[in-house]
Amino acid sequence: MPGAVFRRGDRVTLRTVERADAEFVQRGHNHPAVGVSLGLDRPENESSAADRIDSVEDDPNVATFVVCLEDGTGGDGDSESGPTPIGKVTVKNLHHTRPELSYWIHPEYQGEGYGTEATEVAVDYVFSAHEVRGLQAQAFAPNDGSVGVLENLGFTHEGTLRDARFRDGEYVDVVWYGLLREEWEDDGDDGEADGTGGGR
Amino acid sequence: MPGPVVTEGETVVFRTIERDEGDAAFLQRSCTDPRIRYSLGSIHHRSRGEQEEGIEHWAERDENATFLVCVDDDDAPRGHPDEDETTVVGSFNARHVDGDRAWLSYWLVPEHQSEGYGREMAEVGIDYVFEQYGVHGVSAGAYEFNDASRGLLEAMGFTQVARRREARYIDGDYYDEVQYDVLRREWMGDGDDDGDAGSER
Repeated sequence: MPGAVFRRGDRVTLRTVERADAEFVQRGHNHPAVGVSLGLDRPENESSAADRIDSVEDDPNVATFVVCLEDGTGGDGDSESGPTPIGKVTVKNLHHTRPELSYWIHPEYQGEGYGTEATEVAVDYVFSAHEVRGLQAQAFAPNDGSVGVLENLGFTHEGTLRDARFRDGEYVDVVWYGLLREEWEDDGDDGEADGTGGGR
Repeated sequence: MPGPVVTEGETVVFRTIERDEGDAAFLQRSCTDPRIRYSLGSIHHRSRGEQEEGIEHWAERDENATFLVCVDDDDAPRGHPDEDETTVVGSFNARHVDGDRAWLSYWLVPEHQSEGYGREMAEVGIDYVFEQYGVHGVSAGAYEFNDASRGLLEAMGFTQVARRREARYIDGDYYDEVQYDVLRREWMGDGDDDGDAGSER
C-alpha cells in the first residue's frame, strides 16, 4: 500500500513510496513494456525491489512517488481497498543544477494521459520546492510514450546519443531532454491544458 | 606513487592508481585547482583523506577504469617506480566500462598542458577502452567554454550529439555541457590508419 498523499493532480495523486510497495514496483519493473524502457536488463525479485526502496530512503537527493488513482478500489475491485497504484515518478540528483526525472506507468493504465499528468505534478513540485536551474530526462528513442510525456510538458530535445544502449535485440539511440525554470513558468498554464489534452 | 604500467603511447604511460598518500594528493588537485576543476564542472573540494577513500570506493570499482598518466624516465621500471623515476602529468578515467557505453573524463595538470600530452593521453585511453572492454561506443562531455577539450574531441573524430543547456553552475554562472560520442566501428575504422603507428609501440 502506498503511503500518504504528497501532491495531487486532477486525476492522479503522488503518494510516498512505502516498503509495502515493493510488490507493485517489482511487478512494473519486471513487465517487459516497462523494464525494457527503463533499461533494466535483468529480473528483480521482491526483496531487491524492497532494498532499492530502502536505499532511496537514505538518499536526501531523491524524491520518489507512487502514482495512484483515487478510485477506492485498490486495483482489485474491492471498494474498501483505497488508492490504486498505477506507476512511479522519481526525481534524482536534487542537489545538481538540473536534477533528472524518470517515470513509468503500468501498461494497463497507459494511453490515458496519466503519465503526463503525474510528471507535470512532479515537475511543479520540484520547481516550487527546490532552487534548481532546470530538469532533465532521457529516454530510448523508440519509446514514443515516454518522449510524448516530455514533449507534452514542453521539454526541449537537446540531443541524441547514438546507439547508446543495447535493448530489445539492437542498439538504440538515447534522446536527452531539458527544461529550464523560465520555460516552465512561462508555459505553466499551457502545460496544464496540454496535460489534460492527453496527447498520448 | 603510481603502480605498474597498464598501457602506453609513445611518450605517456598509464599506471594504476594506488592507495597511497601521494596518489591521493595528486588526484586532489582535480577538485582544488580552479584551472582543472572548472573544466570538470567545479566539483567540490575534498580533503586528502576523502580522496584516499575515493580511491577505494571509486577508482577500484570494476565499472571504472582509472589511471595516472605519467611520463617515465628512461630507467623507470614497468612495475613500481620511485618518485624520481616518473612524472605524473594527469589522470584518465572511463566510467561504465562494463556496459554498452563508457563515459570518459581526463585532465592534465596545468604545468604539463600544451606539451602534446592531451591528445596522446586521450587516444591511448580510448584505444585501451575499446580493446579491453566490449563497449559499443564512448561518450565525453565538455563545457561550452572549454575550447581545448572540444577541439580535441572534434579532431579525434567524435560527433557532437547533444547540448545540455545551462547544465552546470561553475564559477558564478550556468554553462551548457556539450556532449560528444564515437562508436567502436568509427574509432576502429580510423584505427586502421593508426594501426601501423600503433604497432611500433
